[in-house]
Amino acid sequence: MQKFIELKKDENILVSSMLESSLQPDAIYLPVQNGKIFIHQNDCVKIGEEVLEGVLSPISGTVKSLKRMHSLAGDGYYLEIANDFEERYLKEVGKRRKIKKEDILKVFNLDGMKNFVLNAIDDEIYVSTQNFYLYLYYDAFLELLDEIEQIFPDLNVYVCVKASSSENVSKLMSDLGMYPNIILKIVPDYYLLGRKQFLLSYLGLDVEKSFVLSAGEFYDIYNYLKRGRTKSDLLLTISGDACKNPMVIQVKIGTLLKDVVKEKIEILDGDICYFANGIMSGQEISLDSFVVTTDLQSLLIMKKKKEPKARKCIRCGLCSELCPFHLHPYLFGNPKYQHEKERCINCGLCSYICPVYIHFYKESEK
Amino acid sequence: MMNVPYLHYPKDERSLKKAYLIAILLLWVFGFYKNGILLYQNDYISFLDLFIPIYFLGVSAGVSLLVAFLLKQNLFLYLIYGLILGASISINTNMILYPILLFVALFITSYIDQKRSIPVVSLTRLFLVLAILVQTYSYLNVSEKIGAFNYDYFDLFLGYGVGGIASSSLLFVILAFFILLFNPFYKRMIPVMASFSFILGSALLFLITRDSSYITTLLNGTVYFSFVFVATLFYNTPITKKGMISYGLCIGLVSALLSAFLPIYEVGFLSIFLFSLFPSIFDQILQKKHLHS
Repeated sequence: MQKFIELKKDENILVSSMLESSLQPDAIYLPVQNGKIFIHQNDCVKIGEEVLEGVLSPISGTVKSLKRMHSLAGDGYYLEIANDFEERYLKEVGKRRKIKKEDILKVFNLDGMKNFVLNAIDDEIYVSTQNFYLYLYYDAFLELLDEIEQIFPDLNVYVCVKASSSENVSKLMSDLGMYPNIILKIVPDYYLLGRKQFLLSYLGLDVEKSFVLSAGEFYDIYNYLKRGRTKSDLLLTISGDACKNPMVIQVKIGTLLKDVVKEKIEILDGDICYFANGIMSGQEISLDSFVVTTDLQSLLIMKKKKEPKARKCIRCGLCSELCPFHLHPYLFGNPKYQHEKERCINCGLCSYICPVYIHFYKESEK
Repeated sequence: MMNVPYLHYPKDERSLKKAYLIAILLLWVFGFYKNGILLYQNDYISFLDLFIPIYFLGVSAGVSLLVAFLLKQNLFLYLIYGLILGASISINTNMILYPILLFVALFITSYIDQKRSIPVVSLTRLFLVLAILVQTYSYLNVSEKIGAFNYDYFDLFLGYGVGGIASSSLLFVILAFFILLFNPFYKRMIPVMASFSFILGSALLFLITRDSSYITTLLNGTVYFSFVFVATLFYNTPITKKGMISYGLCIGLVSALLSAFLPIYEVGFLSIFLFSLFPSIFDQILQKKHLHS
């Protein structure tokens, strides 16, 4: 059985409940990644126009050149588009329209599904991105959930929030009376519940018959169905113990992260480091030339700490016991057991619990 | 996975060492009472002899710290090793030979352990029997030697029976176990399973032989002391849960079987030594299917 634990965090790091926005970058950068380029230098593009294979422009402006940048998508060439600040859309958008059953059926493949789960849980500590999506677009979410429930009357519709998300919990508790078929699931502050398979396991729902969407994904679908908009921006939590004003910021996809931080964040003096997508399962990054991509959910700015010296394993076995797949992290360094490492989801629980501070993933890469 | 310096479980290895230290000192307090204060109050020993348990405590701690210092090992860990070793020996141990033998045995086993992992404590403990054998091999203190007691089963449970300096009390071993139990890194399954199989094995031996000493030994703290403190020590135990369970079961069962031939005070340490030589065998046998999947 899966063992869930609550991570011990610094209670002083609190993300502001006000949303900030940084939606007017001078330029954005889109990863080329070996796909086709549909435009040429100095072409004018609109929001939602396909500029690269499968990539839509999040701003309107002029195509510049290819530049070397990096992001969670990797290092490589990125297409620079200079912003004209006119917010011109490819299609006429913005008008609210009624969501049609056909559209919902087209977007959601719910054949054979018994459960629809809206997951507004953030896995990583000091991150509040999914929670904020639900908080900000609360009415929109309930509207779409209600539509889904009416179209699929046999479907169990769940909204999952963490017990620590007090605003969302109290709003949902008072309003869900009007939506009797939407089931509210308040879950403890356990790590990994933000991930589909673990949330379903915790709720006791069948993985094969459950459709799970994160709040961010659900909002993008709502925007598409209701306004015909494609995804051009996202919410990003910026927090950490070196950040004086932790907040959630709405940013354009492709923005330079350094510009967002410079514009909005006050940073403490001293040695600091940056982590993309959390300190448990994320990675340390350099802000220089780092581009915001759709898979970026958070930036943690932390005071640099010296890594404690790992000591000899005391064979307590907790790394394996807490591992969501009961792998044996102490074998990661042994080439004979490479298949163990290949199954690792890099959740960081083994290193979190290790009493002698072994950094399993790093050790195995030596 | 970047969490190591930034996010960690509030407890670490040091908390486990502290728990061991508190638990073992609790047993030493009872040992000082049983083999010092109580005997002095009843005029069995002189005022100076009152401090013999304290002498063994000090020598065990001092020698183990010296070995740790010389071999550049962790001082805190070796202090625990020393206190465990001292607690388990007989009050009749030769007071001059003990520090020498402890130093030599601990130094050699620790030195070998640096090259190839071996169970330092259980092996050193086996060598220390020599220091008891130099005198008459006996764990009886002065009052026990002259048979000036009439203890019932409850008294034996409290720890008034025969045993090591600070390891005779089953009650105090249980209390120590509860102190250690609160630490998540403590390998609790080992003493639980070892005690279970030891009790089962002794009960079977009693049913076969009808010898009531097998039942009496069930209330002696020394064997459980080895299960709680020595069998769970840091580096020579299986790492998987199934491995720990089977390791505990084997230790307990073999301890019960050995008690038919050897003094009860030694069987726990001997069986732990035997099974701690190759702890990973337990993991490999039980996890083979999973590890090679």
